[in-house]
Amino acid sequence: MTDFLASSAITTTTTAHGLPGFGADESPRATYTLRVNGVDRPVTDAWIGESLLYVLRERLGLAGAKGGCDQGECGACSVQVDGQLTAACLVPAALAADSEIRTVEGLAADGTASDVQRALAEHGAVQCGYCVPGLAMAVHDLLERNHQPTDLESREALCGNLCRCTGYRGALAAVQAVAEARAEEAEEEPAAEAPAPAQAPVQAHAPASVELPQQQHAQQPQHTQQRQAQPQYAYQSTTGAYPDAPQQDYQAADPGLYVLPHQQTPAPEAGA
Amino acid sequence: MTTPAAEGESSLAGPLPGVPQGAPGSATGTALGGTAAGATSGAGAVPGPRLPAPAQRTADTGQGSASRPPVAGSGLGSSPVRADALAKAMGIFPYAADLWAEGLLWGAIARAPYAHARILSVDIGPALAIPGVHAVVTAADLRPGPAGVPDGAPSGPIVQDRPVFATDVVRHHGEPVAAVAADHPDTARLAAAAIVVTYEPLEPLTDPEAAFAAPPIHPDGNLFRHQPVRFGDPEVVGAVVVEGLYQVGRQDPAPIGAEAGLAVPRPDGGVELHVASTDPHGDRDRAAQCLGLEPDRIRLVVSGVPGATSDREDVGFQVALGLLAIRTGHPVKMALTREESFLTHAHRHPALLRYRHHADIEGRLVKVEAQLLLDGGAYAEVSSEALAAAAAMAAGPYAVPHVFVDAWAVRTNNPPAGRMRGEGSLQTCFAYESQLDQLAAALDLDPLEIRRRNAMSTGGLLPTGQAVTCPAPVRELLDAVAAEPLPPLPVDQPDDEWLLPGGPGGAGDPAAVRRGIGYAVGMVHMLGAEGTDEVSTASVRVTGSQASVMCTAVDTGTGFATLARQIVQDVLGVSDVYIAPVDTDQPSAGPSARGRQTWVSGGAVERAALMVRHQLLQPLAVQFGMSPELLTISDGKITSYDGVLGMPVLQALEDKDLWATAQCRPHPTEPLNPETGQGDAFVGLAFCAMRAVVDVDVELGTVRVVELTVAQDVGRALNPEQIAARIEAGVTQGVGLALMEELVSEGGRIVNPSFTRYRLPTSLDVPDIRIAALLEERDVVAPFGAKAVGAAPAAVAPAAVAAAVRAATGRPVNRLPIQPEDIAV
Repeated sequence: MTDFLASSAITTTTTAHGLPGFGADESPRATYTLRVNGVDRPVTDAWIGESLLYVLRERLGLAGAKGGCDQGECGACSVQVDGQLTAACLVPAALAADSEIRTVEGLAADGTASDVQRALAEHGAVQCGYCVPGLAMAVHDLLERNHQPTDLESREALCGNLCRCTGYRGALAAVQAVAEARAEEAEEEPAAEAPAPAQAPVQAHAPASVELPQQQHAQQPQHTQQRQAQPQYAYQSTTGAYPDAPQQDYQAADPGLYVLPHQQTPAPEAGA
Repeated sequence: MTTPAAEGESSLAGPLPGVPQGAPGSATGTALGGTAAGATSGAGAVPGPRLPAPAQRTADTGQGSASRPPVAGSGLGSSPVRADALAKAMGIFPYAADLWAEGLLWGAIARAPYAHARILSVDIGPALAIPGVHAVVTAADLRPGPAGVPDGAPSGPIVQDRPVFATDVVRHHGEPVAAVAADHPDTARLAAAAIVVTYEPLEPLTDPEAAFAAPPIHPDGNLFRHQPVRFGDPEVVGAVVVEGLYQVGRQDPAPIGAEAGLAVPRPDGGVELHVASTDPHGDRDRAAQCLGLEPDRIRLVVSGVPGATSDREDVGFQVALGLLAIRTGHPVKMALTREESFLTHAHRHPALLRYRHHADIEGRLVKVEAQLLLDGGAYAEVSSEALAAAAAMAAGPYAVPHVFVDAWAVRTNNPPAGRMRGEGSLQTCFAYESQLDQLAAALDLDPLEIRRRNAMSTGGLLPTGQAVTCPAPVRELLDAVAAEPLPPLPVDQPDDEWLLPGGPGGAGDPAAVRRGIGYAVGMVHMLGAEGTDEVSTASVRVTGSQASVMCTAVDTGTGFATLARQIVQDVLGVSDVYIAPVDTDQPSAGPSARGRQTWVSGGAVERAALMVRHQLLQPLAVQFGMSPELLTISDGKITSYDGVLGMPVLQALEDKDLWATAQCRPHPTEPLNPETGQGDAFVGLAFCAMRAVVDVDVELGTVRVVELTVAQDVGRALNPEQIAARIEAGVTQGVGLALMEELVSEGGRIVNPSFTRYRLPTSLDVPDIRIAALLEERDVVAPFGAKAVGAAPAAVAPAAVAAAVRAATGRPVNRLPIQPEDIAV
């Protein structure tokens, strides 16, 4: 970088960031299978440098894990790889091919939100909600390891999840609420294991069967049907169960699997 | 907090010389041993806390009664769980970055690495040569300038000076120069890096004080605005004079979801932008202007907003995205990296504030003189509004008979500054509250007492000559926070539960920790100032048993959708309320900023709902043989005034399709006079008082905020849980600015554009936030009497934390964020 205090110096930079470009053709590719939420998901001909976060979101249609920093600092991309809470943005997806990956979509059992997710929603931990999937994973992970965390232990466990919209009070309250609720259930059934939807067999999440506690209707009112051709939103429920979310039609290539249609078609032609 | 000096070996266990630890009359002393901190002067009744129990903390354990979820309900005054909370917790709520379309391409922006440089040439050939690249656009692809030469299509909310792409001059680090669309995001980024741009670096203007004399870095000059305030007699001098120079650093809004969007080209040559905009109609109009299209050919659909404490999505992102979609004919998706997000979105104005407070020997303020300098960054954005707020509120919520202010907002080659919750008010709050602490020390007065003596009240005058007609319960707010019991010292807690300053497992020695208590009170304005037309439009429709609300007020997570639902539930008695998604096909509700949406959009929803209610009740009234005003709706039933006749609401709504549209706007305001700063510029004011309790490790200079007690006047608590959530958000953001957040630039280049070195408060940093009172003195001009709640806590919290650190260390705290070297003793 030229010393720009020498104001009459003229410099030619090859790039804006000092990196040489190279053609996408020559980039090394891989085909592998990821086991996500108990389901084998094939990934074909993907550049090997893609992060697990990118593959989950853009190739597998599981947009629950969010990207906030691409550096592993914000915790919005938290997933569990072989039971270990991990920043998916830092994991090369191809290297996760032999691991059990669990995402926030896998926390729900049979399409119903887990107790942690319900507690987060009820205790005011959700404002804009962007950090909440990562928080849900972190809270699940904490409660799997520690059934009665103290306030300090909860704070330490959640300090890897950044939230700009709250003061973490809702999340900490949710941790305590779930810990208490699970302890009560464990007392009622001492023979059985402490019930945890986290350990129930997980399936690919099907949005159509999700329930919300306060829903009265399942249909979008007719006078708000949309008007023009809309892009396919692959990540959205179609039942109208979430009135605050855009109502778009989702066409699953295969029910129960989130294979994006564009994976089946050849890549768009490149040209100037 | 000090551990008992068991063996008496460490001199650090005792109070350090010169540090007013527990001295009689000091705030610390009062808290630690003396009379209860709640010894108020009995000024006025303080209503009790209004929140349901779970939002309050029990004093003895310091932990909330967290087991019970908040009281649900419907209608205003209750705290229903937001409808999208579960979808967000399950990860299926779509934000802009989650969208996808068939044939999607990815966009990336090429940015300038210099803070100030001339662009000599741009060669996009090497980028186009990369396989997979579909299009590269520069300023030449935007609408041409007035002389037919590409000028980058400058636009802006107030002044049209910010180009989409830099054409001949780069004015801040990271300014967009070109954009690329390719079939893979990494290909797009590599192509953006491959564009050959020839720069001639120029000397960057980074010191705002030098901006006055420096050569202009923009044809419009380096001074955005100068706003003087002349109130009273300039010759007056007080018996006691206190001076200070204060500095506020550059805070980034840092939403966890960075800018992202999807643009889909329309068959008519326009484009549909799916972005998380907070001002959809404004952004749509600016995009239309930059692209040279008619506004109705651009449709902006607001997707889920991943957090907004400031204006989101600078024009360089949205317009570039739309342009790529139009050029390629494909949907184009772009997600900014965190580094890009740090560089280009609006930041808080860094500020230099020089103050002189004059008071009589009893501590009553006589005169306030101030010089305020806001660093507006490279482009005008909303610096002029921030400056007006800063100048008008430079003296704070106090009755001061003589106020003389000169405030400037200047242009530099630093990253652009713009609207961020509490703009202008936060910087002055830190300064005037620090001044009051200094004045209290000079007069040997209790900091709380000096604030009480000078507190503004309803009917007082702002230094701009405006009468404060809204409720201004400043003294009551101070009394409310002072009345709350202090958190216990952790001496009874087990050692491994101590959360020391600097974090658990750090190098902190408990014996070096001192606890300090500080107070601050501040004010913000609500809605647009100085003549802005703050109108919002909403429609309410009821078909059968369901109501729908169409209002383009963007819910950024702050809960407008929930509020709209509560309003309709209250007015119409219908519990099933659908809030339509926001897009620019509907009439404008204005930006989600300045605390507007509660006021004007909530007001518009209420008005429309009342019109529908009248349509509903009118035939019933005829049937009952009475006037519609004599019917009430409650608990899902319509009843006559005497309770004799009634009908369930749902039955009355059978086969009905009722619909109404209404607008709401506040009373008009006028600009501040450019020479005297006088004028009725503000629609309303909101006040907030805080007490901060901090632990400071005086050896290391680390700080932990233990507890922050807040009292705020909210007019009316429409959704108590949500108010608590907004207060927490503002407090946390304020704690961040006070202790850890600063975007550092060297020679105009940002050196810490990442979360590794721009530190946001984590769960270990946040204090216990206790809400002492939400004073509900209704603002009669506001719909529902409610004031907006989001901005005031954000503006006041840094001053409260600084005051507490001052009390703990005895050091002057003149700079935010507080650096360890400033306070280590």
